[in-house]
Amino acid sequence: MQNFVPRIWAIGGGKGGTGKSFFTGSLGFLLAEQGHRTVMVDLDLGAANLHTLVGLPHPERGIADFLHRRVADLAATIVPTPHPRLGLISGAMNNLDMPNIPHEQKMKLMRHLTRLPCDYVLLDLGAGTAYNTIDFFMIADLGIFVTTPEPTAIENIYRLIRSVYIRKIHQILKTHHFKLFAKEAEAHNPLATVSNPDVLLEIIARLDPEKSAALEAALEAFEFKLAINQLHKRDSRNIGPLICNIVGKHLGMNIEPLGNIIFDDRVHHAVCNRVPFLKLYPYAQTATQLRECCRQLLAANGAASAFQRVVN
Amino acid sequence: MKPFTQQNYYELLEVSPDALPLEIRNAYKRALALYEGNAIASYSFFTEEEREAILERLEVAYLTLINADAKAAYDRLTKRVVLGERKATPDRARQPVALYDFRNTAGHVPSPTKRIDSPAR
Repeated sequence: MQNFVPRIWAIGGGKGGTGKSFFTGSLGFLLAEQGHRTVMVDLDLGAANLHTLVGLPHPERGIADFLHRRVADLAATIVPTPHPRLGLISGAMNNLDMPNIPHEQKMKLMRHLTRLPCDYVLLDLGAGTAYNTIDFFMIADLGIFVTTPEPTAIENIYRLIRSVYIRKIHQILKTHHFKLFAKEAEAHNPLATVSNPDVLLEIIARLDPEKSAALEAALEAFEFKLAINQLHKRDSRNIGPLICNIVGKHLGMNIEPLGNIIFDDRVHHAVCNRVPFLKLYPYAQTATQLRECCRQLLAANGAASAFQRVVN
Repeated sequence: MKPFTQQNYYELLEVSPDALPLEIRNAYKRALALYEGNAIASYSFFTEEEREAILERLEVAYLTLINADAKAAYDRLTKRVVLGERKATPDRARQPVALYDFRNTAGHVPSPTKRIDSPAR
């Protein structure tokens, strides 16, 4: 019998090095500090390093034990961290094939993630737009994108947002109908299923208004937050709201700015010492901004509607 | 949200219909800052052709709304479109019910026994 229904927050970004793991680690630390039982799951399977950020250089167990059936329940792979109420499921593993886990294993992993014995599950996702990354957004109650205010990172975050959006349309329509509409849309614009999902939606609205209305309702319930990390002094403070404005206007997707986290040299120092930044520098401006992000996420918690979980 | 391609000039510039010229000018500047070629926030989101089409549309919207005569003409046109849409799908429940249509009842005297609060049948 299932006793736990944790809230799942997925943290992702198109590009590596934007601070996804740092943000996840900080958020986990803050949630645990506020009394919430929190488990962070390192799903950056090819390049897992969240364990180092929370001061666990060699986690005894990890996702690999679950995927290789050494343990039957994913909850058995939770490793306690030095911080009360904060647990970690490490993605660090020796098998080089692990980044490409098969579909069945991914579904099994998703099912177990939704039953972890805690209040919050934070999924630290890898960079890129592979299905193995995007599908974890689909099971989350809230998706959080983390980017830096640089053209390279923004380019990749747009790619990720579009991929998540098209994957969601695919999931709602089911493969057969999606392929039919995609073929029609691609005849009008070859990029309809890559970078111009608005064309795809227009075609669906024209061909099947009933499905289009259901799709619109489901997409409206799809909710995301955007955090701008490593903001430098000369960067525009308004970059997050502008990105959200473009995504809202041109993709019709609900994405809200979560706030800016300014660049702080001392983050590097904290990482080198393998101690959470918030613990070393609790009164730094970056720490205050992280706390504000956490406060906003907790406030949005009640309003956020759970996505339809594809795993059941 | 209404698709971008279907948004009217006010929605494009994110101004209200009674916005002052200064507000319209500022809104246009904001939109340009979002869509112009070197804008970091829209970097890579659009192809060059898409970006040019958007900028062209924004310019038309701005030049229309900033000019009082052009704005009035646009408002008349959009109102007509809205009224035309309403005519196609009338909301009968909210319309007032006429007791007498004088064109149809000309020369006829209503029966004194007829209740005046009952609609004409």
